[in-house]
Amino acid sequence: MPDTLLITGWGQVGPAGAGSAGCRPEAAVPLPVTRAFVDPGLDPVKRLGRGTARFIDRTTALTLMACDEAAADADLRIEPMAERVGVTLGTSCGSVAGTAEFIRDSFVNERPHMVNPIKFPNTVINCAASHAAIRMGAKAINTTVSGGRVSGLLAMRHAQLTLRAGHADALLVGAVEEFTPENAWTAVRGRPRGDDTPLGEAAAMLVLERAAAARPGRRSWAELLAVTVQTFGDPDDRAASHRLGRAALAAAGVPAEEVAVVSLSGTGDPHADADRRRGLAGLFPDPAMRWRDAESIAGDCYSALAAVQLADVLTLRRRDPGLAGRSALVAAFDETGVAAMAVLRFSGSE
Amino acid sequence: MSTRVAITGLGPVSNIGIGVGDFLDALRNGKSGTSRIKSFDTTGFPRVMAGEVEDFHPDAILHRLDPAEWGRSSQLAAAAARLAVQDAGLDPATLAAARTAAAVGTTSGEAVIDVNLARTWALDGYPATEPHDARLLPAGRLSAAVNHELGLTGEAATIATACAAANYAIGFAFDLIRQGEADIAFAGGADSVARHTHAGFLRLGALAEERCSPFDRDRAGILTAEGGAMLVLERMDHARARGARIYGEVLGYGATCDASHMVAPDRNSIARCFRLAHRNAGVRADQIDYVCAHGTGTPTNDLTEALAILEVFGDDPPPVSSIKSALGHSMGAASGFGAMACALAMTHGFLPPTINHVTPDPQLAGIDPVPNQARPADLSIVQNNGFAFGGNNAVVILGRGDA
Repeated sequence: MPDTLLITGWGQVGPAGAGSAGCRPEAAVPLPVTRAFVDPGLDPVKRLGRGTARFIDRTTALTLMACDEAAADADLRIEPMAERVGVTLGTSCGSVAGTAEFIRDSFVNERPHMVNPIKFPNTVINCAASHAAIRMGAKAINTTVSGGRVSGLLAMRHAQLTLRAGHADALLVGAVEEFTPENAWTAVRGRPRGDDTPLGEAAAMLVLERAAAARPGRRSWAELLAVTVQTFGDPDDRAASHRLGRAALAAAGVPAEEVAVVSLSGTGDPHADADRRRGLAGLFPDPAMRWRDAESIAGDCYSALAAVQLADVLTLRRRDPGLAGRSALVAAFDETGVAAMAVLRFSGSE
Repeated sequence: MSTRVAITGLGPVSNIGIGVGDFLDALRNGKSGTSRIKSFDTTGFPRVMAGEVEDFHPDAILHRLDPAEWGRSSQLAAAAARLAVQDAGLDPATLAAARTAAAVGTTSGEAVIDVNLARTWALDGYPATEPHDARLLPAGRLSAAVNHELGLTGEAATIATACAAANYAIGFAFDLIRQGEADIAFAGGADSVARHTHAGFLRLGALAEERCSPFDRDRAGILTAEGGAMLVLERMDHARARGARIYGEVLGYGATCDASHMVAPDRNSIARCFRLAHRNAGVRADQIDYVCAHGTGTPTNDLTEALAILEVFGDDPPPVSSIKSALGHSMGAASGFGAMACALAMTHGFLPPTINHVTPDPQLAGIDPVPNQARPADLSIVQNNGFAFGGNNAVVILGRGDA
């Protein structure tokens, strides 16, 4: 039997965490949008300290703040188990703004190599995960995974395998997306939407642990039963969500009747989104099913979205003890054809 | 008895050779793959050498992907996977019947696209953002490209753990097969030469002028490089049942994070990583016959790596060579090429050399870098090192897989 994996806490920054709605973003340069899900009150200097906040990019700042919250929520004291705690972070590109800022110097300065060496690590996609390890003192395996909208679930998939292989006892797992002018222009031009969902920024981190590596004060909110990832070659495959949903439930060993919550977010393609919803609805005909769409509370926060979806269904359980013993399915689809679904079973009270 | 994981195919798209035959010849003959940069305008740069894959013609290798729709790193990953599948002798029916996975390591994803976008924003303004660039940027496309090129429907993950990324990808693929989640996994890495990577290492004082000379007293740094390095990992019984050629076997891996500094390597954390890798692979340090070093050629890396090796292996460590002397530092692909070098070294019985070696470094006494010329050797268990920005270390242990 593989190890049982428990979700023991989570943390989120961004508008969904702060409870605000889409607002008018501010920037010193032109933005392609007039509304975004950002939290204007989010202050990295106040939350992280000037010494940390000064040289890091937006993606890293969001990640660190979410890690702080997740570790506190799980009451995870890392120091005594530092070599057994790691980080698994999903991000599509690292910080698009941090990378562009570094490269810019090569084009505008008189000499093309006169870039800022202190900010060189900001161009590397694993920058945020590495900073998270430094801040949290987490010395076990440190992984960054990229999969567009599926990034948060790819992080869970990687973490699941990693914990079962014994590379760590606990992992901070999640995903991040920044709202910066550079990233907003990339999003609007690179993946234009057919609906009017605003862009958003967020980071959501969960604490995922091996049940067998007990520690005092731990509380389980859910058990991670399965993460199933597939690639669909045909972007118009209308049955994709149905087949993947079936595969995920089979991997989890969960009958459809046990599922009480399904989180499926839009991707900006109304036809594909409707097909996916229909495909999953065929698996879960129960009219009492609670359907969740994280984009409605966090905006299109791309590579953070699947992690926000996970945090959202866990928050639902925290508010509703009646969900104990029931399951949730979290689904994400990326433009590349890679799709993933996770199945959780909510824990009872301890 | 744990599930065993064989290496049954190698797909190098490298500056010393494209395809396993050319790569092997170049490796054995100590051929250098570095040259003057052609992919971007080097006017004004005081250093102009890198390891570009000048002979890479994606159209000639790719069957399904349209290169115009994919960035260079995705092209390199997909082409390497195509070569690997051919080398493994995997026919479409066998592939279709297997549960597959693709794991592609990378440092920067589509670094050339990063440069295009940043240049546009700096010189032409944000509204000039090219949709084509924006669409091609996401790093997740590297692993999706592999699956689409090969027509695979299994899982895909781009693993962006910087310069140790291919070892992370191999480790993940190993865990997938070990845990019964896949029969065949394509694992390795890809990255592209890019202006800002070259500039960044130059400004860090870590870029060599002419050549990369790891473990030399006068080593001056890295040369940035590129490539696609994909390996076919396969469940051992699956490989044997179809009569596959077996280059070797992944015995296990270890990964640690320094959690101390973004750039400076940490000897203790690296030594801990060696020990973890040995323990996970079920081997002792004295059983390792060869170490394919991270060996970037910077003064700090090579010293730190050598001291960690001496700490874990004692005063008489196995030969330690750096293929970065020939290839330069291909970033996320680097440890993928290292794993290939290890597999070929075991299969063909030789130690890959550290080329460009002139003067031994007295500070590295006890390290045999296999200077300049390959040597015949009977290798049973070998170690492939990968270290990265952010203090992410990953070490893979390989065996012959013939027992």
